[in-house]
Amino acid sequence: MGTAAWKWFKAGVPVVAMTGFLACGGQPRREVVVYTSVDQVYAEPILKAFEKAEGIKVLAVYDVEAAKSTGLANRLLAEKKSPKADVFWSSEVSQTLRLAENGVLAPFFPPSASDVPPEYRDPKGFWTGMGLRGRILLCNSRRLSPSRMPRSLEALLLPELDGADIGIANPLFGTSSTHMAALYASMAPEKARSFYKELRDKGAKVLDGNSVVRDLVASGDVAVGLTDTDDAQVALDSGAPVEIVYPGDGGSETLYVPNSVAVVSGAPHAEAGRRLCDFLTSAETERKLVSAKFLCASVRNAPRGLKVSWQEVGRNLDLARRDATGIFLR
Amino acid sequence: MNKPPKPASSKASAYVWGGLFLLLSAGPALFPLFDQAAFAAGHSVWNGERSWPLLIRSIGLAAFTASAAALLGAGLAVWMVSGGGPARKVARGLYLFPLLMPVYLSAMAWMTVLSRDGALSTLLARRVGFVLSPFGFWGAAMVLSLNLFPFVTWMVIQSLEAMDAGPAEVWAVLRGGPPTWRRGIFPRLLPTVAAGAILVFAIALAEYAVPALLQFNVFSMEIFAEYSRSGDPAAAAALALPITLPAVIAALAAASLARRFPAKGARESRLAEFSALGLPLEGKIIGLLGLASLVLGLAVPVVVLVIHSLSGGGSQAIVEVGASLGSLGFSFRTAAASGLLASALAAPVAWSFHRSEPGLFWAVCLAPIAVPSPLLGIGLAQLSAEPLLDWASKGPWMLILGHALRFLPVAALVQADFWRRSDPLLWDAAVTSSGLLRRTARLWLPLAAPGLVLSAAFVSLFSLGEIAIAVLLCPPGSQTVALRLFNLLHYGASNSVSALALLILVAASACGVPLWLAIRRRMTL
Repeated sequence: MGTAAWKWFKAGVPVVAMTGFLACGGQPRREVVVYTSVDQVYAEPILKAFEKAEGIKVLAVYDVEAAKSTGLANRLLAEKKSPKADVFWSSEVSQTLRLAENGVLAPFFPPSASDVPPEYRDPKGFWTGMGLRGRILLCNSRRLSPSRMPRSLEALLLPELDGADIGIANPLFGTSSTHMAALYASMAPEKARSFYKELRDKGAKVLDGNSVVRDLVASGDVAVGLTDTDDAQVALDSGAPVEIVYPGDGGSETLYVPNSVAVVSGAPHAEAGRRLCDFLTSAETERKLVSAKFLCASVRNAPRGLKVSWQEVGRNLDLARRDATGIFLR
Repeated sequence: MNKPPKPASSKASAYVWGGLFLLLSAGPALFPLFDQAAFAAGHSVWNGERSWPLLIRSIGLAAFTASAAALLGAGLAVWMVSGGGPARKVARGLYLFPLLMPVYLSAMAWMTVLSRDGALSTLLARRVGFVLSPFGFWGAAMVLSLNLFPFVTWMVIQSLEAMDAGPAEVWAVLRGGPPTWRRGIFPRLLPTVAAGAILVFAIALAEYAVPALLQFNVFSMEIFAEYSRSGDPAAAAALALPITLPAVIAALAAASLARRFPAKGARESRLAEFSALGLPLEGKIIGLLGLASLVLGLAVPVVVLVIHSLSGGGSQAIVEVGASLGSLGFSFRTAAASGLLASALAAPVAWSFHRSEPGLFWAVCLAPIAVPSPLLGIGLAQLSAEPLLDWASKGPWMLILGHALRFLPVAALVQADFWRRSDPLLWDAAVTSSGLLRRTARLWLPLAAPGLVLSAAFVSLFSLGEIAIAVLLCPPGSQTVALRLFNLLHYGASNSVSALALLILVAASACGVPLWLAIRRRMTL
């Protein structure tokens, strides 16, 4: 036995050495590190275009919805003492607001974003908005005829619609959480709180993310769900029997959430980071992402929707999340 | 046979190694606690009115999952050894596969087949007039049980192999098939089954993804919610203590049970002797339940993945697989490195505890399992921001370390089990022969090699599907295949996701199965 087992050990030594060798990677000279929560399928072509245009290697780290917003934003917080990232590109804005508040971001006004309206930029330059995703009602057209489809958020509370037929992503996380904070900012917090409590009391399904809402509406397990335009687009492209409803008269209640791009404070490749930030916030990049149907509109030509101040949304985030925990986590 | 003597020095070394083990496997997760006013933060976010019921729900889900896993796992193990034939052979080859399947993907597969227009729902509605819902307590418990019960099966098989009195001897005393099982074997398996159930309990208690997906709120969600809201790892770590405590209590219970495990066995496996015994009716029933669970736990996710992969002609899936080869290579390299590191780190504790304190070993191993993964990841991310460790964050080292530490208890349990079944005369030779280097190189390492390789393989396989730590520690510009898969999952590319998941399973099997077979032969199982 000893001899054969000894062979096992001897075989293991080169494996260890080889693994160590293979796991090592060289570092290119001109590079920029970006942390992004934008789906890789959309972000990758944009980052490759930047590499081609600027000759700077982009090292990306992508987030996943399953990490429950505890991914990249918390990684940036944990690395605050010795930052590893240069740019944070978020598919929404609430985590960026939190990072700005915690001193993780550096001020920068990208020249190419000079035409971005002030409501989509941080006045101190900690972040710049780029492109919009809408918070919409996705309806299953086999379950609901056009006349029965809810046309506003409040219509979700009408008795005609059974609670079990409504799906929302858990407002503790992601854009669902931002949406709740935006409602707190745009109407009185008591009114917004009461809306969510009524949804809960009605028995609405609180699901594990906007993509799950999309999938359950597409399969008909729920008749209507509150989700993002890019998720809805995926269902439409796959041929699912779904229709998008923009809440409010002519979409007046629709919340449009901007992507946000920021330079990290103390970034190891600060100059390259600023160039990438400028590239990402340009009208050209925005146009590409609108064409890819990840974004539904440009911040430069925002559709009519719910009017909110993102600074005010940031101030309401904590209260909204605490309330969401109390309302939905029981 | 008697156990070797336990000198005081070996006990002391076990405690030292145990302390180091705990420090390594749970320390980084607790690192934030030393940095800030964590307990005050934890107290401020604790909401008794809501937190207590959530904690009770978590314990309820974990307890049910553990009970179901005990029943199904033990049943399958007993059924597999109680006869021959191709079905049993196939089951023996496949029973660990559910552990390879990321539990989140299993839950999604069950949601697909039990959705309103899903295959199983349609079938049930047509045949029996009702549909099952994958949501809520029962759905979460079912998915977790189907994924985790092989842990119990594995432990029971090891226990059966290690029985010091063979079935033939018990048979001779009890003069019959079913009584041999009822009075001779089942009672002696109970400590192992209970210990396996406790292992499942500890894992299920910290589980977050499946309950969240299947709409059953648990206490882990409180930790994630707090973490996402405040970004304060200290508060999240303090909130994790209430779920760590039941796991520690369970671990202590397992520790007392472990004293009654069959300590070691003959070098020749006695599994063949069990097939001559007639299994009693209750054994047959739970055995078939276990078999049905194995079939369901494997078939549903795999069939759903295959069907999704082929949807739309499969061309998109092929493109995605091609694009993911780089991620796959990176994943396998880092997973292999994590496995080897975990195996090396676990070796001293498994060896020293095995010799002196096998009971306490369980407590040491199980406690870190209840620490939520993101806390370990955040602790390591904070550590890597320290100037001394700056170099480590530039490569895959922190990721390798993170996975190795997360699955260190698995490595230690596998190695301890290996030692338990090895020949004590050889230990004595390893301990008493002269010269530390000579003793290590000529006796200890050859003895330990199969256990080391097997534990490395286990850790590597678990690392492949892990995402909570990977998203926090993956080096910029690289990506594990699990991260790529979950990123695509959000995008809704179900055929690409399925193809990628299948690719992980096939690749892991291609590496794991030959290794497993070689080690089985080497260990004379």
